[in-house]
Amino acid sequence: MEVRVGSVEASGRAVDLSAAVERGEVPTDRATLAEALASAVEAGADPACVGVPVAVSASDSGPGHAALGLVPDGRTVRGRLAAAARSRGKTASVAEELAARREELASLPEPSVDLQEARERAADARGEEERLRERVASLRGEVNARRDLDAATDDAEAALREAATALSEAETARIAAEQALERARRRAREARDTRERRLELADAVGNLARAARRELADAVRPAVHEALAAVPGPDGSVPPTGHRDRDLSAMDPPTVSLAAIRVADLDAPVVLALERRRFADAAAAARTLGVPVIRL
Amino acid sequence: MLLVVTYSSDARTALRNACRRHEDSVVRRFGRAALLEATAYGAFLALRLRAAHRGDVQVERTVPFNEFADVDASVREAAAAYAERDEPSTPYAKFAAGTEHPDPETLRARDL
Repeated sequence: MEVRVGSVEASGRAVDLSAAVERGEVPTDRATLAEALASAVEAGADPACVGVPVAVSASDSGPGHAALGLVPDGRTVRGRLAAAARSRGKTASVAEELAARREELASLPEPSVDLQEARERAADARGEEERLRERVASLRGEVNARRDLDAATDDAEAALREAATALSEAETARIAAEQALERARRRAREARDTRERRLELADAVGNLARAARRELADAVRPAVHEALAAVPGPDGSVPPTGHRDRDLSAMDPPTVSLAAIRVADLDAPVVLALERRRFADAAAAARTLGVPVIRL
Repeated sequence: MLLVVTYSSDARTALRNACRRHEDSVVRRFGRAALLEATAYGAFLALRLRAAHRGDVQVERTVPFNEFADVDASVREAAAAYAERDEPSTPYAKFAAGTEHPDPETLRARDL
């Protein structure tokens, strides 16, 4: 593999950048650089940018690599184990069903249910009608009052006629707006059926994916238990303390991740941003884990 | 009251969190839906969810149902009589045929 971070270049099966990071030759913090390197491995040779250009050219990452390519990161023990199983070509019994559901979900449109404009128009039309209705009532009152006083009513009557015409137009507009809203509501109902189906599928996909992870993780658990005896703990001791614990999720997560990587069948490099005491150097890590290593 | 229905897992989670934080404004919570108080605050919560999750949040306003005001006696009587039918497997259409109870089509055509 070839690795380039800014002006620092290195190559080989084991690349150790810890000294360069320590000396500040890489103008970025360790965690950010680790993530950038891992995503560069994942994306192939595409350079990622974190203030400095980062490029890794190495073997393509195969199945499971994405969940094992960086230690530490926030992944669960189960996710790591399932990834190790995947890298060894294992597939879950629900894999086919899961793929079918995913495909169906991807094929469903996300139809729009935006009724805001229709609602706003209907509300405005109602308001306008109400306003004109009040105006007509008050003009009618004025005409009647003038009549009672035997005053001239021509102007008031003209205004009343005008307002009445406007009211009848507003009424028509309000009915049209309400009908439009009703039609839009009907359409939205169908669109929501589709969205409901999407949610059902998304839930099914989530459940199946969890079941698949559980099954795959269980398949490699014994091997990972065994591998634990061969990887270093946070203080560098091999085997790590507590490596006979039955419950992997109670153990130090990076240590379990290292065991999972040792069990996994990976061609592409893994990025290790761990306690420096764990491995003497990148070469030692690559030997222990059986994969190309970039050590920070 | 305001009925808020969600159509995605993100929207569902957001509704659940909003309901937990604003119990005072929640009348009742269902799986992915909730009834909120008919207050401006209830509306604020509903609109906030819709602003964040767009088409995945549906907001409707409910009105109280009064069977003595919203439907006439024939509907109430038909419902009561059908609930007490002798033969539980009889569908309503068959039950109503030949009686003074309205048939299902008539009922469907009548708006509240």
